[in-house]
Amino acid sequence: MTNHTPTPRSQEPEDIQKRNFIKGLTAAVLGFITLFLTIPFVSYLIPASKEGEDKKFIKVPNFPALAIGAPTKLTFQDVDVQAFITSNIVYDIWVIKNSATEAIVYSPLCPHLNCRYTFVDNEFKCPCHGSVFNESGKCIGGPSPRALDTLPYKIENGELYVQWRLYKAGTPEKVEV
Amino acid sequence: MKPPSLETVKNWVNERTGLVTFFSEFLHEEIIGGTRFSYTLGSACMFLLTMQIVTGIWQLFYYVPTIDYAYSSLNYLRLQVPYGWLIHGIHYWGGTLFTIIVGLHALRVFIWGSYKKPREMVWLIGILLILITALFMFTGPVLPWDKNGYWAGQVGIGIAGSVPIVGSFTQAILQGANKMGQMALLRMYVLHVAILPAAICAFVMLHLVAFRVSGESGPWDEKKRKKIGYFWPEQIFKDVLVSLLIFMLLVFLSAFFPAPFSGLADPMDTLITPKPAWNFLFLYQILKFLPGPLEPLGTAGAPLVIVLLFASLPFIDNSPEKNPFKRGFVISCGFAFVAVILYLTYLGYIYRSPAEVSQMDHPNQMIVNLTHKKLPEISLEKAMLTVNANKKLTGKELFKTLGCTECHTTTGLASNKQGPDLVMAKGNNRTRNWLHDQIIAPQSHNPVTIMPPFSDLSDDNVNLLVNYLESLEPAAVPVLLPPPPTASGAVDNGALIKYGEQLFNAKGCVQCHTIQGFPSNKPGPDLILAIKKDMPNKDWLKTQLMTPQAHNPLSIMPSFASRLNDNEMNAMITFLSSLSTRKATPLPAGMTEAEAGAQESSGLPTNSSAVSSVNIIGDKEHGGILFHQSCIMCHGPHGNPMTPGFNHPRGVPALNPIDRNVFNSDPQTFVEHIDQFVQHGIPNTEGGPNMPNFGDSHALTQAQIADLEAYVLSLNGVDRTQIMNPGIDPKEFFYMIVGIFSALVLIAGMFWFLMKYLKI
Repeated sequence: MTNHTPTPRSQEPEDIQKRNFIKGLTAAVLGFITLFLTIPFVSYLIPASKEGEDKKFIKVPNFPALAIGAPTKLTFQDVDVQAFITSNIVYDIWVIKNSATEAIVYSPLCPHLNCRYTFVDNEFKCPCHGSVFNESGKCIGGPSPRALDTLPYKIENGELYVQWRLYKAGTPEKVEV
Repeated sequence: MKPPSLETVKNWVNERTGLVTFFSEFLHEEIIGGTRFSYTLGSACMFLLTMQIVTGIWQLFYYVPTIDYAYSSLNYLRLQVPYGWLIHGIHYWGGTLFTIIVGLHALRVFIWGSYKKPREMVWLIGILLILITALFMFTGPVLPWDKNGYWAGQVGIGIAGSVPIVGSFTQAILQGANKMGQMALLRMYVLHVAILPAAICAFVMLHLVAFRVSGESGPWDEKKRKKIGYFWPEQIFKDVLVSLLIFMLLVFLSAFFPAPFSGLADPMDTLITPKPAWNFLFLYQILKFLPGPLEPLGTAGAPLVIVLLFASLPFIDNSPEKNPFKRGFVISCGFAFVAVILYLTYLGYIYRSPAEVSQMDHPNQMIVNLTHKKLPEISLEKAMLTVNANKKLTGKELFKTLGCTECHTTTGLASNKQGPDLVMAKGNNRTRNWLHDQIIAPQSHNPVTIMPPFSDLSDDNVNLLVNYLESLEPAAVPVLLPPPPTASGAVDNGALIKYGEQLFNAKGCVQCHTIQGFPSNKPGPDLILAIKKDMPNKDWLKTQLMTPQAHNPLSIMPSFASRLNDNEMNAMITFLSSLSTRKATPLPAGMTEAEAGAQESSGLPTNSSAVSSVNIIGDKEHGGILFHQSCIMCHGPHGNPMTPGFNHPRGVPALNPIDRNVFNSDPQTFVEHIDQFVQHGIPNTEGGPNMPNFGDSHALTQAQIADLEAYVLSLNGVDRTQIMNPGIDPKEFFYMIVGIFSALVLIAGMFWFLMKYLKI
């Protein structure tokens, strides 16, 4: 963009070598800065690992009043801590009470692609892709690769306590995420 | 098919975009007079701008622009996110360095005369870039919503608002509401992360294009202009070296001088002198020279004159002469300007408001001692006298600076403080000698008083205090009408109870007791509860009033033997006995007794905001000052009640070191432990003063409580600002960079040696 014609640069081998040396050094310094920025900038984005955190059993209200044998959707509340924000979170689960001390607890998410299924005509039916499960959780139709996911629970003094867990969608095995 | 060569691809792309031609044009700039390190300032600005943009964007991954979460989100980023300290530190120090280097860049252009024809537009766009930088430096510090940023923003917006004609409009636009708050924060945020970055990028482009049209101006000396240098790689190499130095400086500053944690913004805080960010101190200082009606000259006049002067420079100084030694007048004006700005900045930096000086002198002295973790060898009073040596204090000032106001009021009204209101106490008609003794040795009057002895006060100062106490206007004595004594001796019980209740209110009983039927945070018990529980007889009540220590040797209740005559005593006892049948005041709907007790003194709802002290990282130095104001009378200076000159009220725990059950090396857990006490208070089971409920009663804001807690933590060697998850420890990271860089230099030196001398 300058107004005069460029002066040709010296082509002496020594000058070319010197220029190349400076080019190499410039690249090395820039690489050095980039390296020491890339590692921190990438690590910064990796979320803190939640591993080793104790999964706790949370009390599910309304279990004692539940009718025996009828699949029912229950909800319970937990406190969700993410970084600097603590918020209340409501989970839902499907519960079949067998007796005062025994129950089946299903995750409300279809194992196919994690849609929320419903209970219609004595079957669990997923509205998204038509997976169908019977009351024992077995897949009896549609694309779901596995049976409904059960959640760990315990019953103490007639009250139901559940651990909330998420499982990977679309795989034949039940893998926690 | 043969794969296309790199050259073919390059040509193909270039034919369609012109990119290769553009870059080779861009890189193959000739530099008249050769490459120089003094030419690296512009590219240093570019490097810093790039760093600011990248670290700025990276901070947006965690930062939340709301007044409840801005401060805690930033602190999370800085302490919990790997390398958050680095990314925040680079941005924080990058802004400061940017201001300095932009200034040096302009100064160099000024000295070299590079703004002269045909480069006037480069200069004008440069001025615009400096103005944009100033806006960046104004909006940025507000975003953490900490004390420093809040007040800097408050002052800045205030200055903008005081400009004639357009001021109130500008203020409304910047603030977005009638006061500094969420809207102001959002506007500063949008300016800082969207509008200004777009503007600076656009104008930097223009600046560069305009610069390349005429090229750089080169040395003024014709002889030196013969030499030709090249932008790539020679000048770029020098630019990159300077950038590397800046990068290492940024890492060094981030590792060793992290940005302060000044505590959450607190509009209630009166301890801070609101000041703008350092870049604007000169302007702030100009305003102080221009009182009242002249103020617009400073707010609007000074910046306008400065900008106009700069903008007209190429047109005023329009001779083609570039040699600074032949432009003596312009150059000396320029240097005088720089000197004035630096001097004003210095004055602004050291300025303390008179209020701040009187409030801070004394605690500052203490904090100096605190940081060294040793007890003062001199007493509090002596320390204070040393600090105030040149100041003549009045009795009233002494009363304040000695901390008397922590326990005593002088309003003539009952308060919930530990000691009596001293205007009400005038009713006791104490002699000067009695007051004198009470100040230097309160235990001589009441062996179990919690008042600390001020035995180190000089006689002069004690006399000043006594004079002050005597000068207090006694409260208007309430007109109390004793029930007319009947000839038959039959007493109208109802009238007597009413009289007793009037006495109860007038004689200061309400300072320590409530009559509500549920617990309060006052030092003494609620009397409906106490009397219903124990059902004391009249003799017991009389003894309690005459000599409370007869029942409980540790009681802090004063004797009323001399304050009530027989009639009054009788009425009081009748009134107190009648409380056994009195109904409790109904609790406000939906409130438990504990909550009601907590609310009692403020009448305001308890804290329900998302902002709670446990989630705020406080400023420990500020906390030290608050500690001196609110806690020292019971907990002693440094949280150590065993300091000479401070007696240890019964049941008051030491804070330095604190109870091991309360202590925790994890700052968050530790804070959660002590927060309970500071927020809700605790009754003292040993008869000493209760711990007040500073949070529930709103005696302190959550931000102040956070500061106090940070201070108490620091007394116990726990730092709330320690980085929990650094990635690599900041200092180690810096040493590592220095180490690897040194290795790089060594390797490069080796190559150079091999090339130069061994011709390899």
